[in-house]
Amino acid sequence: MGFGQLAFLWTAIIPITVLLYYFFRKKYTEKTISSTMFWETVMKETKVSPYLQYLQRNALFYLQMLALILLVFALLQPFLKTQAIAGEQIIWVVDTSATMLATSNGESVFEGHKREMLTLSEQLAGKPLTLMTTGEEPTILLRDETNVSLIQSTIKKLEVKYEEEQLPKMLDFTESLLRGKETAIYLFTDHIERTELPLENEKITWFVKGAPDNLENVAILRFGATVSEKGLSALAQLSNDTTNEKQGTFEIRSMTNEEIVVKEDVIIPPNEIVSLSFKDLPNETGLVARLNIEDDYSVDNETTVLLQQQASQTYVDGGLHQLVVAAFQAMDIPVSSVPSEQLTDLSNEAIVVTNQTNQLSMSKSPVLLIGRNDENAKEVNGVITTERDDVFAYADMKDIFVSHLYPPFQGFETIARVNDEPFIQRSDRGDLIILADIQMTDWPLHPSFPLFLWSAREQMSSTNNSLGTFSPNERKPLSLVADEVEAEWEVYSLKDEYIATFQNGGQFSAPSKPGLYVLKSGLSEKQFAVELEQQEKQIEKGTTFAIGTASEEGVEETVKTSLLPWFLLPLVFLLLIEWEVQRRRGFTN
Amino acid sequence: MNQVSILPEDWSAKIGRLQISTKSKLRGHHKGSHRSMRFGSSLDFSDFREYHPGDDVRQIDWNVFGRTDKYFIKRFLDEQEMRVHILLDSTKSMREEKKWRLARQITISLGQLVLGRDDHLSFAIATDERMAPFRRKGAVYRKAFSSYITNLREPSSTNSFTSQALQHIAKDCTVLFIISDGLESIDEWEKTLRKLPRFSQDIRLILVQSSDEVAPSYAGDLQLIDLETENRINVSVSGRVIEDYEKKRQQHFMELDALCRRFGIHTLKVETKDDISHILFHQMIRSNWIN
Repeated sequence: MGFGQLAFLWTAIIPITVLLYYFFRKKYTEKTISSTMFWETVMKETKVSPYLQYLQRNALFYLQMLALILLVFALLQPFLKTQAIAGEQIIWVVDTSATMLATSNGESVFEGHKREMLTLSEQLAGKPLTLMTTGEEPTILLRDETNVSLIQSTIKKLEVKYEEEQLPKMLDFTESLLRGKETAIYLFTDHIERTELPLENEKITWFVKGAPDNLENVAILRFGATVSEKGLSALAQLSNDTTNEKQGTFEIRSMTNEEIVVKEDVIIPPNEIVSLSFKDLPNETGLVARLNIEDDYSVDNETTVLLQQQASQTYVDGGLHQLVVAAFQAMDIPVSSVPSEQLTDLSNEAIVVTNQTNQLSMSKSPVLLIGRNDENAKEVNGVITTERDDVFAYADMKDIFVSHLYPPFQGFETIARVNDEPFIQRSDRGDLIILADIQMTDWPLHPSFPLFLWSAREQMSSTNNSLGTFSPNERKPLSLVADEVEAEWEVYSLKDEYIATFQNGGQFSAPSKPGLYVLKSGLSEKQFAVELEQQEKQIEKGTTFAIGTASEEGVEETVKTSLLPWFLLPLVFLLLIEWEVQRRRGFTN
Repeated sequence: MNQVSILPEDWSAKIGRLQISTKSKLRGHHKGSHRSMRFGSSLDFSDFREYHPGDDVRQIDWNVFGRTDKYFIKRFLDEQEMRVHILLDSTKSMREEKKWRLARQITISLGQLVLGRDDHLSFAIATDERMAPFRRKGAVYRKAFSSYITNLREPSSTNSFTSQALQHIAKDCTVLFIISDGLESIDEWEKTLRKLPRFSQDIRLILVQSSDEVAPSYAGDLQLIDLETENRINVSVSGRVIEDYEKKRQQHFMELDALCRRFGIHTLKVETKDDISHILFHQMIRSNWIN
């Protein structure tokens, strides 16, 4: 504690004067009376009266003294010196990437940072704090917040989002928050190079709180599997970032029944990458690889791979109308135009768009048939009705005019009709058939046409019920139409834990935690995996440093908190009590 | 020595009609103005009684003998004097001016009532000095008595009143007046009052109280000095202290009253703020002390 105005010490004279007055007031005037008999007994009782009664008798005096002493203290302007974080504006950037989960001494880097933040939050001393998290989309959780309890509760709620920290993006973002004041930016991350920080602005002081530099990491760097004729073949790359030789076991489990397919002891030399390959594994829809080894970062010791026919290429029959190719290109889907004759020679993992009906039986890959070359079209006239199907997730078919239709295929599922005449059909294999040529309809002129093509391609490229692999929190529009009754999709983890809900495919964002997930709506289920990004599988040595003008003066500065209100309030209160005491007793108590 | 009278003008004329009333049978031996239950020489007829040898033949009612041939003695009531003793507390506690003045006023008034009726008055003040007590009878001494009392020296006795009182009381008095301020401990009073009934059948204690004693009007910080013992005591007067004082005082006088009732002593409290005429014509008449 200190005093702002020591010069006001002279006011101590006031209470001393009052004290002296009370001393000299005790001058007794002599008075002779007949007998002091009664007075003696009265005074005897007064003298033995308890302390409280004594206080009561002298209440006015003590109250006055207290009030005056408080007044003197108030005039001295007392304050408390508290240590506070330097800088006028404080920005805390919290890295929520997966690497923050690296554990040292039983506590993850992230938990350690949270603890440090809680400690620092007590030293804010009323300065505005902006709290943000990193990621693909940097998020501001608090903007110029001064409420410490809110800050602390927000800090406690922070969670790792697993996605890559995207520091450059974040740094650009923080620039936009600066307001030309002295700013302290705290980076709660694991590793950042000094050169990565923009140091042009002199008013900014950077405090980088990194991870400890002794973290050990062994990771499954890559894991992949392909279907071959004899079964599955898998490839794994294991990396050892430490300076010690690491020993452990590597196992591959089936995703469906948790059965261990392969188990192998591995020895990884320091700072090296070991590749393992496995052949002739039994056919599975997905594999889970796990590395049982002692290190500080366990998130990257397990990885999943979903096996699926990923039809990446799209081939369009050269004989089709140019608008089809244009529609694909409008959706940014690379397509190759192939002459009709060469269609039969294409690889399996491709989507073929054609009007050759025979391709339905010849091609091993899914086919999008637009029109038929083996039949003649009949004239139709009417409104288009569609089934509730994923391909129409973004395509509204209402205003489309169709003039002619080809006869339908028997036994195929009809998903769109014109006046009860089949318009679009789907084969059991997943082929889509539009029973009209481009020329027979005005559909290509509608925006729904490229969207339909995109949905159709998306659906055909992942034939089985898997949606593929996503990075944590990845946002990606999926062509999904929810069950009619449920009207929404729900995401569950493999252990049937509920994760999230979204209305349609456009709102999909992947969960943050790596692993396998199931997307459910009514009876339909789709699997997908969330995988760590490659950068998140490496742990760099932590760095902790401070750069900037304020860092030279020290991280903290002293802030004077005035105690004046604490003196003035009781002072007023005392005056009120005094007034009451005086009102009841009069001046001569 | 001749001081101005401390009593109102024409005081003796005003109280001339009053006399001390008492139920006490004890009378003096001398003839007086008060009818006695004894038979004597007054003009008031009492009764007749048969003559028995030995009776004074002068008292035979010859008129009755003439009608009845029997000797009857005609008897008259006797008239006897009252013996009244006044004892005045002259300890220093009585020194307070108004109190002393009132005490003397009462003493003179009572004395004049007694002397005016040709009764025997004796007066004593309780003091260590051997003073000749005032003993007189007859109206002629009224003036002498009043000047005697008026010129009494200021009380100076340092001993307590209760310890001296008994020595200054005349025996066999019809009425005994004690004038004091009662400011001595109850224990002392009990010792004295216990022995009083043997002196008289009608004892009257007049407690003279100054108004300041009844309701202290002082304020602030005082050093109170006891007139009698010269005890000093520091008092910061406050409402609470006054209240306590009042309680103590009332308790004291209640105890004293109770004590007096036990020994058949009548008490009367007079305050200095009251006029002497109020005391005499109201208080004393109301309590049937005089009529």
